[in-house]
Amino acid sequence: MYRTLLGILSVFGAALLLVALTFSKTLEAPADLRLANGTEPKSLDPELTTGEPEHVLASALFEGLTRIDGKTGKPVAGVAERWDISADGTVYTFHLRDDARWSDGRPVTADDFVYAWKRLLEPAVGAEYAYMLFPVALAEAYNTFAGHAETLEKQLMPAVTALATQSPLDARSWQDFLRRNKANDPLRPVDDDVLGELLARRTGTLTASDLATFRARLEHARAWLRDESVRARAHFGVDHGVIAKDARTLVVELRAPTPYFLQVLAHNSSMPVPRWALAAHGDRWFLPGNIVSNGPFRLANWIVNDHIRLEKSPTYWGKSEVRLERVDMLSNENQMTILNLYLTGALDCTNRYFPQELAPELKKRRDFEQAPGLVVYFYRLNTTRKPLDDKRVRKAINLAIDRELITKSVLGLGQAPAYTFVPPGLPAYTAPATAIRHDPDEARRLLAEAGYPGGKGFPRVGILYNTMEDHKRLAEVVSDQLRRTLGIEVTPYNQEWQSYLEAERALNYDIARAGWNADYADPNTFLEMFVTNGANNQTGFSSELYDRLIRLASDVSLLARDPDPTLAKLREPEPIRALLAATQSGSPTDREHARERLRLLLLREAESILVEDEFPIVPIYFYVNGTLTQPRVHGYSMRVLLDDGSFGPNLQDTHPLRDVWVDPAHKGEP
Amino acid sequence: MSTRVLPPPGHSPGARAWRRLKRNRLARVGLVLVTLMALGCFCLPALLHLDPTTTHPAFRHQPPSAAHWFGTDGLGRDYAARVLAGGQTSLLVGLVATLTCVVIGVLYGAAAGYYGGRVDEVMMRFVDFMYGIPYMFLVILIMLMFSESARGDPVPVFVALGLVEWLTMARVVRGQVLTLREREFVLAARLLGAGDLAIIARHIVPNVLGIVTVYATLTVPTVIILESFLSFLGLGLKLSWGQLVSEAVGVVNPVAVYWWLLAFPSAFLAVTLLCLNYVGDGLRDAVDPKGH
Repeated sequence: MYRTLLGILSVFGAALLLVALTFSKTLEAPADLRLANGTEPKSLDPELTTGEPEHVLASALFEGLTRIDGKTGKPVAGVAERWDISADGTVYTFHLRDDARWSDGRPVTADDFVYAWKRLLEPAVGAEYAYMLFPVALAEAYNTFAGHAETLEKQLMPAVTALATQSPLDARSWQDFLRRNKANDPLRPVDDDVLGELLARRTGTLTASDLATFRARLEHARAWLRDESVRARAHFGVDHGVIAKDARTLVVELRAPTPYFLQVLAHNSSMPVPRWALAAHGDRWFLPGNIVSNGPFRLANWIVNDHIRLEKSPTYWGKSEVRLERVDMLSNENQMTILNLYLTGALDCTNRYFPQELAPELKKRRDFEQAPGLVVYFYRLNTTRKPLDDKRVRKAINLAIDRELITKSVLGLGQAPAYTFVPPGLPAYTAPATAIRHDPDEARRLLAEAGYPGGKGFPRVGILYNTMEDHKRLAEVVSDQLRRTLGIEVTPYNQEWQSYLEAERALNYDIARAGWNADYADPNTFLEMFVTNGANNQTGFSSELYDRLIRLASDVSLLARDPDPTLAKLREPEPIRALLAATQSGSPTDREHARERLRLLLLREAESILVEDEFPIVPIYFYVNGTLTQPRVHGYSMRVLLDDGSFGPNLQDTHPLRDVWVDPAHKGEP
Repeated sequence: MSTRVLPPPGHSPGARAWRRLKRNRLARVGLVLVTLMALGCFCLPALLHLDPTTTHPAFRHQPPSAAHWFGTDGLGRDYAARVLAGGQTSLLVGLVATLTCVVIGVLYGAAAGYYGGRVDEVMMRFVDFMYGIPYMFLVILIMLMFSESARGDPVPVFVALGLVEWLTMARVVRGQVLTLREREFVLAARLLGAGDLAIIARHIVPNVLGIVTVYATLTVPTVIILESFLSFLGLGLKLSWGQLVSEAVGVVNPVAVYWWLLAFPSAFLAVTLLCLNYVGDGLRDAVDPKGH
């Protein structure tokens, strides 16, 4: 009897010991700083991650040619100590620091960047952020042209052959056909006026000979895409695009001047990766023990669904400037838990992950800081589905929503109602005139005109949002406003993140919630997404003029070739015509200046198509980012120092950890 | 000429059960409260013109007052209207899902018990098999078969809950039927040439109704709780007590306590569940006094 009892007890004791041992591993020295970092990061590979938590971690672990300065929010020297830019703004020569080191002691070389960028652009790697490097010459060809050529050959060309039997074809079914076979995306880079005219045909009919011409041109386009892709693969990273002149000199050729390029280089997608670690560990290279990084911090520990421990890297070139020794990044999605942790002193900074619902209360606290951000909250409208395929209906929805009420009473953090798409605060960019406002009468009139007087006969539509309390609240208010103003039945429903993304991608929704966070401080990051069949378009919206404007903005010299057909379609052609003339005369600085202003005006024209003509979206509000931060934490600010010495909002809500420090006088206190 | 001996008035099994139920004070209170609750949930919103959906964001998070008895929620909707509307769906889910499970469970259990032998063996092993699958998994699977935009509609929830709750009902009924089918009146019916269906429908089912009623009364609260659980997982109804409680849990924080958001739906839910359980217990004691 005693023996059995003893046996049971010893088994029990052994189990207890095992549990104790497991947990003893997690006993770490206390961190200097504990930050909330949103959901559990999926990966720490700087080139493959897309989420915000991963972005923050990658920026602490790795460093690109430039980095964002915590004080000013502007790109400053990172791995590159200095750089020269050619007079026409298209060739950057970077001089790398000789003391830039990987965490295993190897020097960071120009070859590491060439390797990393080729990897980012490799189609088989499938990096979603590959487009960030598209301003670099040949980069787009390297990344997409082979795939485009294949789409043409495997899908579009056989489909066109099959279609030839059905000619003549009316323009509407022609556009449907193009959309179904994803024709616009692969053909966008192809410079062929005849092809362009056929793709853009939206009225009249297509004859058999049109189709024959189309097919012949496709053959050319495919051959051209394939040749360009072969050329890019042979030259990119060797003698074009990006070239390692020697171990410490990196030359980057752009396809057109890109004012925001230095910001792009600070983004995690263009950071270097250690090729030897990738070769040794494959997909698991970024796990603790395997990872080699070159940033101010290195990965010390990763406890899934709990936290990631970072510690100061002893090999970082600027280690004397890094003042934090140990940082814990908490992985927790529950905003209320995060708030409770903060209030009990177990967390130093909530970051943006505090409960929005309590914003009016939290705003009163002295440790709460906020600033407008470069983020727009909007609804996508599925323009391929009835009844939203009618732009009068889309406009009616835009006019029926009372954004003032939403920002004042539902959100309450001082968010600005959005009547255009690009958030305010970008230097030199002015928002276009917009037709969006709160006008219930006009909304009802438009809905009646579209055939649904008083909402009669309007099918029930859904608002899709990813599972989150804040989105749910907003969807409920919007559906209630639509119901009361237009008399239409709108049902909010939620999906988990992955299925939500999939539904948006497959256009399997009516109205879907979305938010867009600037990858870099330029309107291009917002407007580029709505090009026909663009990966982030996801509304089915397609406008030939819009596509052309975005293309021209990426290289304004294209406009000079044949300006009139484009100018004729613009809302305000005169300033553009004047600037176009200015780009061709005067001093190089004046020309450069005119080019930049011209680019922004072209983008503005593009935006006006979204908010004045077509309404594939419902902009709702522009974000205000906020955080609760303990007073002992310094350098984690929502304000940045501007050129003129005053302070401005930290528009991108970036807080590089290398520039954050903790006041030792406060240390140990909650 | 035989004299028909009538049972003394008021002494039929049903009447006796009713009398025993009435003598059980807890069950009596429970019955009254549940009736009041149901009447309130279904009649009050219409009588008082309460509107659970219209938002008034300017009046959000108002504490209980004369204008809003239970205060308002985070979007300024009248919380009394929402609690009562939530009660409608919660009670409806309880009733409809229970009905589904009664229909399936009684027919299935009666068939298994009546035919016996191999049929019984196969049917009951299937029930065991279904028992083996975690019911939450099953419910989520069923919910996923409905279209995404039907999420939050009552029908998928009714179906899903009904389909997992019938198992116990089937077992209980089968056990009863196994003894009933050997009884003389079944034999008599068979000798008179009644078919299987007629025997099950006319003779077996009426005889298990007592125990079925008891069990169904106890299933209603189980189903309501299950739906609340689903709401916590984000799979429940758009507006139910469980949903309201799950939304309100967020307000348990040290910054601003909107206690009414949590207090009212939880109190309504708890009172209803407790009362239904008392009624169920009372019924069981009343129908089957030997059980206790």
